[in-house]
Amino acid sequence: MTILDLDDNSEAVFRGARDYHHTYGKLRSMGLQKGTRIRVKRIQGRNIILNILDLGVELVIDKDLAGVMEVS
Amino acid sequence: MGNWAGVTVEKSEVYITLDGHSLHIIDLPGLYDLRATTDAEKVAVNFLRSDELDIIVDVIDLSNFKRNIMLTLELLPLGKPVVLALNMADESRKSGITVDVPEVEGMLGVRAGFTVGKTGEGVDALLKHILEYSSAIGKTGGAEEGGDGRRRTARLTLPEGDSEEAGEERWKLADRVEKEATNFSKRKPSSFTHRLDNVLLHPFIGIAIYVLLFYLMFKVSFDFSGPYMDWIDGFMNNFLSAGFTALGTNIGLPAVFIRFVNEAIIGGVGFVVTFIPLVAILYFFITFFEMSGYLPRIVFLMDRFMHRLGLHGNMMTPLLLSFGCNVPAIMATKNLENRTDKILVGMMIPFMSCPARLVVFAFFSFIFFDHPAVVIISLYLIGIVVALLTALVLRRSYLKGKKANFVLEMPPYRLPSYRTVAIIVWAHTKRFLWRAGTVIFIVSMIVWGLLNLPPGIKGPDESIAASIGKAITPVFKPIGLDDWRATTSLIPAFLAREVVLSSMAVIYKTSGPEPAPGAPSPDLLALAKEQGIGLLTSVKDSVLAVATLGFSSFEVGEPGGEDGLRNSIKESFTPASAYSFMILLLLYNSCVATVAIMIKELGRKYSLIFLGGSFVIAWVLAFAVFNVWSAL
Repeated sequence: MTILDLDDNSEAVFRGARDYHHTYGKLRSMGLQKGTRIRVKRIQGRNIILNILDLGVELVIDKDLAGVMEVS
Repeated sequence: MGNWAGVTVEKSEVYITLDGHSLHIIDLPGLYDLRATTDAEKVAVNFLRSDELDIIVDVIDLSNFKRNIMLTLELLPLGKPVVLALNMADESRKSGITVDVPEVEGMLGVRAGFTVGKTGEGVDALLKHILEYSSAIGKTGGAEEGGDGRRRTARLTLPEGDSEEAGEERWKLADRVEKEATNFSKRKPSSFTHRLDNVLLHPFIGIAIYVLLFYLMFKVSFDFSGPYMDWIDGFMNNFLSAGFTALGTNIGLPAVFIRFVNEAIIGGVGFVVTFIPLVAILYFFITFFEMSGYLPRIVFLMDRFMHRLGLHGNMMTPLLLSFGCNVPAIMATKNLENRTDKILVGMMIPFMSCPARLVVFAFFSFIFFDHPAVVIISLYLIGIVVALLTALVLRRSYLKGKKANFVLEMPPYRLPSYRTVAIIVWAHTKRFLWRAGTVIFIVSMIVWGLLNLPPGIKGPDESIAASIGKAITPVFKPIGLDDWRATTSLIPAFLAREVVLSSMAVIYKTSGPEPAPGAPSPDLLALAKEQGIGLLTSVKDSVLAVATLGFSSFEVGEPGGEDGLRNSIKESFTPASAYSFMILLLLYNSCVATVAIMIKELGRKYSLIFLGGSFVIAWVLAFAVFNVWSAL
């Protein structure tokens, strides 16, 4: 399952990128680490706002990227 | 730490002397880690990895302790002593967050202290840490282990390298530092940001609020500043100029010198200074939006629209910054990962109107049109449309390329510190004043000189300036500019847009009479009293103007005196030619500083393509507008 499969307000645990994506490194440094809990705050247009619950940080990623980010 | 709007994208430096020590402090662009993907990040990482520094001061946002410590864990293996500034300590205290500073120091082998950036709290203690490290370096040639003033040993074993495994290891260490040295895990997240985002990020309400906020920004900027601008104009012409003329005549200064000061300096430079209230208020709003956390929300809202043009939301940040000034906006393209995106946005930015062009638009619009604010907004919209069309065409032809993924951090909303906003607004206004005092001053003198040479001419239309203006007029006649005075003022406009007004003030007023010797001196005391009353009236008028719906307007005064220039302009232009003149200034380049930064960031090739292309676009649109308007 990926972030793209989640609904509004649903929570999951981030498990890493499906294939190593060059943007994944940047997301990792912004706080999206394996094992962190995330919540989908909002799905709007072609983007998704994620709340990284362990950090209280909010990130916006596009749906293309969300489709390769695995969660459970 | 962060690379959203307004944060450093280049190194900036200052030298200070403290307790006999000379410190060279360098502020670097923000980083998440040492894997640089943008030009701004490369500037920082290359410097950190070099031998050019002795001590690293790592500024931690306490509201995001764990993530910020990740960077610290990468900085420590570089082998330099590190001082941690635990910043935004005031907000952390309010949230009930505590940090065991000695524990952080022991675990990481650093020195640390709380700071509050907006008030300066804790900076003295920070400097003390730096001095202690500095003294140790001075004595031993390097900060060795043990004891006060010398680098400490970290209790943690630090991973090195940028592999995924090293990153995961650092994450675990950061988690351990957070758990053992702070009570972050017990903090309650704020719901204010979440509740406000429900409104401000709404796909329809959010856009409506964004449009309303920009309308209010322009309305308050124009209406609130209008009375002050009138007052400054009156002060320059009725008091300063009259006073200098009286003084100069009485002490026997040459008449030509009196005319030079009145026309080139007070008339030229002073005319641009009139617009400082407008510029300062506009910068206030732009700075407020940046610092409150609202700017990334605008980027998010506009991403869908930008995507349809083959762009993405991250490009909005430099474009929004360009309304303040094109130069830092082009510098902000360093934050874009993709070079094609950087060139694309760099070619769009100069079409976005800036305060320097706004002062020219305000001047002409208030003279020629009943609804000047509508005219000014139409010009802004034309600039935006041309920028977007440029992007559309280039993206589908010359600058095709894979779009970078859209990744954006949304910071929490913060009420900006008014002190910090005031400092930033003053920095921008000072830069505007500096340009008035240097570039515009020099250009005003040169223009005045060219209008009065060669010696012995009977009037300005026999001058060198007139010869130059008449030579280039045929190029501009088809767009309604057939007066050599108007075309001559376009030449210095290449240097800076606001120079157009100071040049026009010199060019159009140069034909005025010289002061007559023995003429009665004006009553300066009465004039000063009048100015004082005028200032108080401006304060009242500015508040009343904002309280009305719609836009208020300047009143065009009687012929002669301070409004002689406005009436000369009215005789030289028509509404159609005034609008076409403004389109030319809007779209052809921006200023020489913008050209210089374009060459640096985009390269000579794209800068030259832009210069040639923008002139053609500007001329063609001005031609179309002038001829259609004149025919109606």
